Amino acid sequence: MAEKAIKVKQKKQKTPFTIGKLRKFMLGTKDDMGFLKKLFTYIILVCVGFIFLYPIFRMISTSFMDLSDLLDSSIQWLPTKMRWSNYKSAISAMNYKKSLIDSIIVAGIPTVCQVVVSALVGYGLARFDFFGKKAVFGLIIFSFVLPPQILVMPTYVMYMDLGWIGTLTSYIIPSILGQGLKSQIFILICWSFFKQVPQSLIEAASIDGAGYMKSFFKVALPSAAGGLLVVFLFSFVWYWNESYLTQLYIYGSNAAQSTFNTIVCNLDKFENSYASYAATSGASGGTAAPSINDSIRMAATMLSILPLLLMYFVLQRQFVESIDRTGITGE
Amino acid sequence: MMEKENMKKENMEEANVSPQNSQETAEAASEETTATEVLQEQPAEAKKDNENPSGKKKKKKKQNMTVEQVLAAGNVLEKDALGNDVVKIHVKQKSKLKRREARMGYFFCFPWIVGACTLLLYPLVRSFWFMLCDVRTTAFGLTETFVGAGNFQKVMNQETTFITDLGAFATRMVVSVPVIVVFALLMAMLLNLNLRGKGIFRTIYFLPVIVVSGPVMGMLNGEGAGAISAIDTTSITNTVNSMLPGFLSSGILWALNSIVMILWYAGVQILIFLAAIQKIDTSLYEAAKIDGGSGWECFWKITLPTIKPMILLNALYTLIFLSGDTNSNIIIVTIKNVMFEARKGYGYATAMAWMYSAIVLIMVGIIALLFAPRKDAYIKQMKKQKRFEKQTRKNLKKSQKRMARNNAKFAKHVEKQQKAIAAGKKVKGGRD
Repeated sequence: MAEKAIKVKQKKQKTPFTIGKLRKFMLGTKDDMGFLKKLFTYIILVCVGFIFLYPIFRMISTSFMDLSDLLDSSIQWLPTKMRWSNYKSAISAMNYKKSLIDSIIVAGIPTVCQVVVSALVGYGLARFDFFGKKAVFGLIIFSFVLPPQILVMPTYVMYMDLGWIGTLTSYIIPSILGQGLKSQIFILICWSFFKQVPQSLIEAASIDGAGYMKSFFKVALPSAAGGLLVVFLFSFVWYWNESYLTQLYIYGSNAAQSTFNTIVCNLDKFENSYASYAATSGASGGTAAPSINDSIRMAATMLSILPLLLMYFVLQRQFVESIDRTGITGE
Repeated sequence: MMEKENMKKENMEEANVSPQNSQETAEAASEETTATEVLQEQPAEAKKDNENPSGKKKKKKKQNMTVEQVLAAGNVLEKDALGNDVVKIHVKQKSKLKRREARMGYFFCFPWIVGACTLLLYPLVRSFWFMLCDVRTTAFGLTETFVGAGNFQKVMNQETTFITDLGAFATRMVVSVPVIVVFALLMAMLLNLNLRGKGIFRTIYFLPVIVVSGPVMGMLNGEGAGAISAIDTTSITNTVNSMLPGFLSSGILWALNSIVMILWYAGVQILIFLAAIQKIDTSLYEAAKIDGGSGWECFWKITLPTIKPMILLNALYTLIFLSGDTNSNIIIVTIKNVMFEARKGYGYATAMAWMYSAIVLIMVGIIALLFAPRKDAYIKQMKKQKRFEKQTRKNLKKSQKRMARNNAKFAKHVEKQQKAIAAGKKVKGGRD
């Protein structure tokens, strides 16, 4: 018997390659994906990932080209030389330093307000029961669904009466009152995060003598930090990229004299500003800037999203993790 | 939490008393002239509110008043099923803690409530008024003259492209919302697999979240980088044109032309789906596998039903996002430009905005109808049961009333007979 068993073992070792095994390897079992399936998934993921990265790659490569490269049909991706001159002229044409600071102010201050207020309101809705809570939820969802264009006109008139147009107040006050840019989503995100904080934790804190505010700051906020990060990131990005409302509220009727010039809005009128820049640089006797082309435009666009990209890559681990861990969707 | 307390006061004149509450009658009789205490009178109901003993104590103190006082406080004397007089007293039963918590809830939500009143509801009403008015900016401020539907007529007459734009917008949404949602679901499923390099893929896939709302999309749109050149061939165009009716084919061609853009819009949706899929209990899949379910079946029977609310959310989000996106949407830019035109003004622009919103809201309604969570079968049955119980209780009350009436009749009849007997008359049908 023992001999036989050994023989069988040897036989198995001798013929490691069978069709069944190959099939198992290629198609996989129920528990494990096979090689082919895995390959297929990877191909799809890489392809779609490429589609997602394609515009950015395209932008980067184009931004380094000069006119001859652009016109040369043989050059698709790699420019003949790394040219930083496009960036240089875009930076000076956009007045980059000032508009960067302006953008950070215009996006940052309302974002901070929004994070604070959505945290407060989200906590209030998640933790306490009060009369009219359902109505509040209903209104939040209603205002989420309602196209903002309906409200733009009366709000504009109201701000005009209050003298807020052309100042940052028209961004800050709504965000303090929970009616900022897409505030409803942030409130709902915060609500779902705070709902996941175990009630017993808060109760334990209150038994130990913590008041409502203290249990909010010391218990609930730290456990929902991931959610607040998501809110902050989204809010900042959306405020940063908002050009419609910025032009309407912050720039006001005379856009030329507005105190804030955000990068994105500068980008909208980039052609004009670049033309004036080219004219002045030519007149001042320096080397005349080349007339506007796609490369310079791309360089300007790249510059406008560069801060966001940097922020995303710095925060991306926490961001992805916080979504992984708790989910932004709630129940 | 309102609790209804029944207070009963028996009228001694009433001769007929059903046997089950004779005990109460005796109690009530002793109390009739003095104070009536609700809780003592109905011990069974007093047991109910043992949730908050503090409230009970308070109530006891408060309710040392006579029936007259209770009646004077605005409570109404009614007859119940058995013909007894009943006073229904509504007692507020909120504990101190609950009231304090509610107050804190208001405190936390206070900013939003103020904001909703001033920056949501008031502008909404005003916007509705604007729609019906000719609003002009003059030296003295805004003048509003009521014109009724005049703004709409003007829009119809003057904005020839606006109506066609609205139609194009609608068809685009009809095509792109399902495409984006399905694509996002597929990508979320793939990202959820246990693969190497998951982190890198996730970082890449969330990238559109950052960039998509910005100027990059506008730039790319202008460049024509939104299309994959392999798709954009005349043969496909021709087949689509010949196969489908006009309004659909234009939408599909647009989708094919800007396939990259559409995929880019799926960033947030992938995120939401991924979060939802990760929350599904893995034991469900294990159980299904033990029962011999394949991956395909697992997807249709477990994954999809579980994330159905998220499908609704994502479809809504996609629609709302696309409808508010300045880069791909000409309509909202038109509205903004019209707003500052001297001859057209706010009223005109508001009318346009309302027309646009009507279309968006109709689509929201359609999506909500398609994906709204159906009520759980169990809950449905519970409701049915409750309705049935209510009906039965009602019927019971009715029959009790009828019984009481009959009893009264019978008692009267007996009284009459007794009187007759006492008077020495012969009684018909009576037994001697």
